[in-house]
Amino acid sequence: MIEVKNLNKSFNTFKVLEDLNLHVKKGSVYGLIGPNGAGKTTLIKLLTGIYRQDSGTVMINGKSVFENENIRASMVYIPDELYFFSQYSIEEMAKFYASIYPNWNWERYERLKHVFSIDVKRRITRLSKGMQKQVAFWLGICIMPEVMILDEPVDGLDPVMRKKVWNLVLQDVYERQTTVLISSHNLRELEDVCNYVGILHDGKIVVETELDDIKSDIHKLQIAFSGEIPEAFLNNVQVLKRTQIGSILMLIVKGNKEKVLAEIKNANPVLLDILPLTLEEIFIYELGGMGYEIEEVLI
Amino acid sequence: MKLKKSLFSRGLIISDIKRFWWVSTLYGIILLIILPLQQITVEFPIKDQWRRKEILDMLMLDNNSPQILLIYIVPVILAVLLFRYMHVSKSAAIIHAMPYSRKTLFFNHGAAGFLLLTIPVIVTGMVLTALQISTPLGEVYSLPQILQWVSLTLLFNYLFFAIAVFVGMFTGSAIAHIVFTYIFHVLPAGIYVLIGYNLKYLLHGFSETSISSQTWIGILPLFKLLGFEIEEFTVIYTVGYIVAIALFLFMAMILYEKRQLETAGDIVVFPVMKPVFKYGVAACGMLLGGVYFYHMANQSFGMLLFGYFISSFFGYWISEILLQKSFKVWRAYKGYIAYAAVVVVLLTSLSVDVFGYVRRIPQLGQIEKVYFGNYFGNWSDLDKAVEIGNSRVKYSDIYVIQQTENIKNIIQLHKALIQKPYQKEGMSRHIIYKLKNGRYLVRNYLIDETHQAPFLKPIYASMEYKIQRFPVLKQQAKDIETIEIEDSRTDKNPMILADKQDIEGLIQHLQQELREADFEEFSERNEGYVYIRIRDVEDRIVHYNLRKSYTSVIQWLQDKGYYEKIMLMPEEIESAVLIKGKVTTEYYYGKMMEDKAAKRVEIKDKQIIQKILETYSPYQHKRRNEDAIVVGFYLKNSPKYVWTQGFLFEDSAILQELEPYLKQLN
Repeated sequence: MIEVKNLNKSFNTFKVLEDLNLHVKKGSVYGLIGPNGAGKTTLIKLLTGIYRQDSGTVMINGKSVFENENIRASMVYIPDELYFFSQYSIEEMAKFYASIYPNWNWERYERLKHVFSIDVKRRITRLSKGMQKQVAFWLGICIMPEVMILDEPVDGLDPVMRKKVWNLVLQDVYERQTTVLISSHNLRELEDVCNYVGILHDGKIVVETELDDIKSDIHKLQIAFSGEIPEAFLNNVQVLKRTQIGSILMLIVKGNKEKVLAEIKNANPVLLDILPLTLEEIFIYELGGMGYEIEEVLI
Repeated sequence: MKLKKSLFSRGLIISDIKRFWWVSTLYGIILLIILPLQQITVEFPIKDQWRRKEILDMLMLDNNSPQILLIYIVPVILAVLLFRYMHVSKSAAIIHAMPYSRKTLFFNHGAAGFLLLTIPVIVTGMVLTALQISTPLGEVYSLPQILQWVSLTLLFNYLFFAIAVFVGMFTGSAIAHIVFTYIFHVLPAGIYVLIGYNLKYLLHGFSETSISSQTWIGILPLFKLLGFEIEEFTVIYTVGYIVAIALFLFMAMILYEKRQLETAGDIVVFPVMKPVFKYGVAACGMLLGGVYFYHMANQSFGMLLFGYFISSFFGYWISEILLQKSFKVWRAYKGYIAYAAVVVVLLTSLSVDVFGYVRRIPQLGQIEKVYFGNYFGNWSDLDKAVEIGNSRVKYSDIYVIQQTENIKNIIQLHKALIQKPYQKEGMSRHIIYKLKNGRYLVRNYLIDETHQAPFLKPIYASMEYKIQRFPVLKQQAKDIETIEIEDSRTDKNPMILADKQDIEGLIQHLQQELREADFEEFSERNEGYVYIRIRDVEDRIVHYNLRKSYTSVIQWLQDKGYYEKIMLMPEEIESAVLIKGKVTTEYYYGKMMEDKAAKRVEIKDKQIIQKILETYSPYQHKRRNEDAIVVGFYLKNSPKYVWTQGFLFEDSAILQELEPYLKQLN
């Protein structure tokens, strides 16, 4: 769906993106993670065709994005910093959107009034930042998008509204195979919604992976033995980290879950628990050896 | 799913109108107030010719009208408002993420601008039409004249709008957009004038008029409107302006498509324009600062250079700070050094006259004729001006030298002038050679007549020059309607001679005196007390000084018995007062006599008064600031006020006789 190849972009002499590659499948939710200043917003403005790349290609559905009216007609872009016409109410803005987006859906708009419950006669620029963000989602979803590109989307939303918004977005993904790309500096926030993650660092995507794969590959185990810890019971297991507190052994291991568990059970532990791993931990252990200070990237 | 490929987008235009209708409405209301409303509040029926003309002038974009100001302001404001979205990063992102190409955005915002500018003018036009049909205003102007007003106003509105849109493409800041737009309007004329001024200081003899014709400045819309004359606004202008509108909009669209949106907020968005901006500001600042410091410091060349340095320095760094949006710009010092080096090379080459400009004098054989004199007129109309000058005689103050001997004299004078360094004071004189190949060589010098006397003498003494300067030399009594003689020191009525015999008599003597008059007599800007005004049959008037040395004229006046009727006579004088002072123009205002602190001596002796009257003289430029005795006469019929003042110079013979009085002044 979204294909980015060898993308380069500089501001004056400052190189922001360098030979960047990125792939987003149709119907997936792609989390773009990176610290502040990594170039997320620049990348997003290239994906939406607002900026012109120095070199490389940005394609959606096989078509170049820059200055492409047809792609934009079914694309929603919700930026970090919102902008609405100063005198417009929600209703007027909706009418404006209806006049410029060919697939605008009034029915949906009416239905969503209950979700957002903001008076449509109110001027948008007079609303709070959080409410403006809601309006942006509301109107955005009504254009029946094929692609949604969201820059730090849930900043400023309260937890309830966050959940509502995610539900709406994900519903669209399931029902209409909408492709979503979300940027955030916070991995935890995206943990529950993304199925793909790309990490942007130093102007490049350093990791691009499917979350299910990575989740099923790394495990955190808590083990205790009645006597001495056997010497060789981990010989066939790839241990990424080992810590011992008293007689309790904490392990981060990589590999097939069943195989690993079987191996360990052979040593007859008195306690064998599988503990939940945060996405953050997974990335730290998974990528620790790649030469990046991954903790820094992910904070 | 396919979008309509039409450029037109109703949604965009409506949104623009919805947001900016107030500009248009305000414009319309002001137009209605200053045009129809003002017209109907005039008393009916409008009989007064002057009121009629005033109303008609409103429709002719008369330059006193506030309409002009509206044309300067409204289109620019609209252009800035409509295209501000590209200057602000937030809005630039959202608007350009909408399903519009830049071409579509440009087209629709532009169209909205045209619409918002058009509606108020059309509405005003309709109200005017209604008034024309239904009220006595119909006698004052016609329907075609209303149509003409509507089209002219729209034409200028569109042109100012197109230029503002074009300029906006270069910048990423709304304030810079406004500032740059007006700079763009005045820049060509401004640079031209500044360069002219500066070259005048740098090139001895440089005349601003010699670069090229000044008329092109009048083509620029801002200046065209400033002195708008409907008669001069020909079809060529209309067509030219329409072409300009199309060109500016077309170039603006191309630039818009090339524009990088991440430059929103930058002062200059195209990298290639950044040095143009930076060095442009430095150079214009330099020229302006040079002129300023030069004049502040009493025309000191050192201060000119100081002004160049200080203002280009600040211009350079301020623009660098604006461009980089940071005060840490010291890294750019190399650019300033390079700039300074270029300027030093340029100034040096001007001062050693690399181009030979200062030394250039045409060969005698190349010269067709020379215009010599004080020249204010329009360069392109010089020949016309001289032609008028020949009939209007002295008003053009420029003389045509065609006789070979005299051209030689001019060349000698020119050579002498080149030798002298730049003069701060003197009479401004143009020497304009018309060459046989049709070209002109124009020079302008400040001439100190005392210094250049040996070279000016033969020119002033030539009949060719004298006839042009004193047209009476070739006039006959039949050419003359009246001659008026007035002594400004008295309140006697001027004497008017209309009798042909009197005229004949007077001009014969005057011609005689003028023929014989030598250089000293009329080289100076000597003031006089007694004037002769000769009015010819075509109602043109030329003034002459009646000098003391014109004894035959004075004799003739005495013989005729006119002298006493015109002149200030000793019998009318109550007293003469002397004080010590200097020769200055202050004496005009009687100020010196009012100086209570100065020691004064009063003389009532009739004989002495008569002698002073015969000797004292008015201000003489060449003797300015010399010590002298200032004389003031109090007349019998108004003893309280100084009626006339003058000077007795230190070399005048009468001072010995006044010795006893002068002692009292010490």
